[in-house]
Amino acid sequence: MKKQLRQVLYDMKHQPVIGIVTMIGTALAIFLIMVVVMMNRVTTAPFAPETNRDRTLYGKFINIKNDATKDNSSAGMTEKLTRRLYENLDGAECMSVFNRREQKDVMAQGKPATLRYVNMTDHNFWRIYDFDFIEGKPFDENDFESSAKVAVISRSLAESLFGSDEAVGQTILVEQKPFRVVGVVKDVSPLSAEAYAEVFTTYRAFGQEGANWGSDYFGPFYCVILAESPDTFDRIRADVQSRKQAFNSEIGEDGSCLVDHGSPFTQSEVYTVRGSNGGPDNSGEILRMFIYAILLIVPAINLSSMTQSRLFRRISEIGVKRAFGSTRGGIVGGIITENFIVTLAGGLLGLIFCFVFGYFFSNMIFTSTGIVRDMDVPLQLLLDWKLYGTALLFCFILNLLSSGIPAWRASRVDPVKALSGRA
Amino acid sequence: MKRKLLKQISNEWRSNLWLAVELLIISSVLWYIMDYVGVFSTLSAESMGLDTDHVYQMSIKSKPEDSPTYEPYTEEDGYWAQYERVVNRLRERPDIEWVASGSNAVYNYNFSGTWANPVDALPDSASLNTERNNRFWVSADYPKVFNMHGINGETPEQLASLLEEGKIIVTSNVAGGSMTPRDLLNLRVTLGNDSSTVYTIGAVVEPIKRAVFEPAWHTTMLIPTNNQNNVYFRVKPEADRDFVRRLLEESGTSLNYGNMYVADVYSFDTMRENLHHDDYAQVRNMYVCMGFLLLTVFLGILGTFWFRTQQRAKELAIRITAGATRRQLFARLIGEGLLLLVIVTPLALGLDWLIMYYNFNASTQYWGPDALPLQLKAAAIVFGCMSVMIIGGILFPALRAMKIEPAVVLGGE
Repeated sequence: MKKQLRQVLYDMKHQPVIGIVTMIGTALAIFLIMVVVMMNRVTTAPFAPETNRDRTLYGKFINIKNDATKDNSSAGMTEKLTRRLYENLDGAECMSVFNRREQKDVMAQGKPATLRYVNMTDHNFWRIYDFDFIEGKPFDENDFESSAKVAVISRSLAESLFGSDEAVGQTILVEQKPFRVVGVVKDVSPLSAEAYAEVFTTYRAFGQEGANWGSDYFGPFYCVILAESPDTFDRIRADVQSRKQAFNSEIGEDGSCLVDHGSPFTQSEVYTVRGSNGGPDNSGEILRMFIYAILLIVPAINLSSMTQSRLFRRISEIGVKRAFGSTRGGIVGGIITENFIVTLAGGLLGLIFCFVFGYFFSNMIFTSTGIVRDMDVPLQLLLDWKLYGTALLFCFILNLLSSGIPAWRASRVDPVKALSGRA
Repeated sequence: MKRKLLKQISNEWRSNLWLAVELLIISSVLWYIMDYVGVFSTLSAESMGLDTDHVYQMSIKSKPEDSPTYEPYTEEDGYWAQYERVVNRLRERPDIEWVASGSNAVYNYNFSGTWANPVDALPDSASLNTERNNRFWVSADYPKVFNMHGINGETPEQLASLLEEGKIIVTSNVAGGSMTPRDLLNLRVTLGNDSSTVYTIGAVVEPIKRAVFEPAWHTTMLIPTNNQNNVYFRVKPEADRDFVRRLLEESGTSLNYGNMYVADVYSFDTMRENLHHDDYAQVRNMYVCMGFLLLTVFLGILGTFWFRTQQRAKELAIRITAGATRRQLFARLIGEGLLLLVIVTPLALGLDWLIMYYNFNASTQYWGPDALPLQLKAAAIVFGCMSVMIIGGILFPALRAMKIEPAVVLGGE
């Protein structure tokens, strides 16, 4: 390894242009790949308040078809149906029902109203999501059952309404209805797309428990299920299946049928569900793989071409090594190791670019559909050993792609020809 | 010269093959990106149909009965009377030019569909194109707020008078079959299944889009009415600075009335940004990807030719001693790179054709075969960009080659 390091340093010293070109090429490739990885990771990696992403499932949408009447309707559910299909499931620790997140006008007495994101949910919400309370506490089961007009608000909203984050006990007006603030939480990133809001309250406080879209089944509700562990997902799904079958036999008298699109969805699936009448769509995954491939193959071809030229200049050195008994495997291993050192250095540079860019330009690269706010990417998402591991893996693949063929070709050079300059 | 260059390229086929494969992949990926960006640029350049500069949307809401400050409505001071008071207060502000209400405008995907049935006979083989017709219920001042003009040169004021008379305004794409938009004028129609009300088309305006990145797939009809939930207003350009903050600060004292309150005010610029947040991010990512690939071409060419000029130092020195000028050497090296691109381009165009054939690219998805000019333009831009990168990449090694001293290089021979 020491020998290869010395060789790399020698090359860098004597061929600085090539060294810089190789380094920048590698750094750029790793930088872009890591940005794409980060863009993907924010949708699935656990971070507060969605720290339980690996064991959450989402019950969203129902699609009811009737072949006889040609009816085909799909939407969210009524609270009653949501609880019937998803409450107290085998293998689930807890379940929370929530309404669609909405923008509502929020104000303090005497202040102008502004539109804020409001989550209308139940008390179990606080068991599933991990919010950091600066002051006060979450609303509880009693508040939920009694339809109490209480709310938890974000620190930035508290500061904009009351000039400080000490807002517990104060009254805010949501659509002109007074709500008592019972807690203030640290702001969370809109990248936690399911839990994000600026005001959290119960849907009962808005009298929405009976809300429906003109039927017993369709309404504005969804649910989030916290599984005991990812291993219990199958049990949960089996339980949901049997409940859907029971529901189907009930509504099937007039030919109606609940179409199964695979709900409840895992964290990685829920992002790919495009509408209420379909399941997860993995075409985005294929596109991502294609992007990874292009971002790896194109610089690999580049680097490969340069590695080959560099080895051509060292052909007589390789001939000497072969003449003194070096094996082909040894030559290939040496070249790949040398190249890996360069790739690793470039990769490290790329990773640093990626952190800096991800942190300071988060609004440029991250978006959270439907939420227009600063993205505030959590540091824990950037400084994560899994990210280092991924970067290292990509460096390794890039290295193999770019040095594998030139190293193999160099190792097959006939020592006699190499030493006579005829290779 | 070209034949000699071809010979030289084939002699160094191994390293040239790497370069050619790289150029091929990058050309096709860049073409895909340029095609995508081209579609977005074309759609961005199209008119929205409404002039939204200095225009704002206000949401006026009424307090619910369980609000602590709710006061029951009276006969003289009912719901719409209070609503009208708030709108009139807005109208009285000196910094506002026009105020109107309406059910819809641009920068949202709301759609309220209906179709039109002609009451009068249409010209032979003519038909109305109202299968996807979006209905806007608007007050008379709506054309003034959005600075609309008719295709016959009608001013916003004239369009407003037509609405006042109860006539409707339609977009020019309502004219289907062998009709011209002018044939629509004064045509009488009924809407949907309601045959009891007959409307006269008073004016024709340009198509109205719902969003920047959506073509004018829908036709639109402006139907006169009075109060609608959305209030639109145009601010005098000189007063349009920090307007939302000022208005909201004053709303409690000067605008709100009775149970009516201003829930929010948005500029249309903000609405456009909000609606297209993800689209803009996508286009930005495409540009970043394009920059990366072009930089990769530059680095690849730079690295390869740097070595090549070192390896071929003796050959270049011999050329100089045989009478080649340094300028010719420079042109030879640049020509080598460009010739490689020319060789690769037909293959890249073949790949592009495959992408089009399988309907993967944006322009084919949007416009089908009509997108050919845009696709050719994209190919030309890609060729231009790649050429610039190749010239840029070869420039440094070529300049170095020009400085070769034959006596030094050939000293050992």
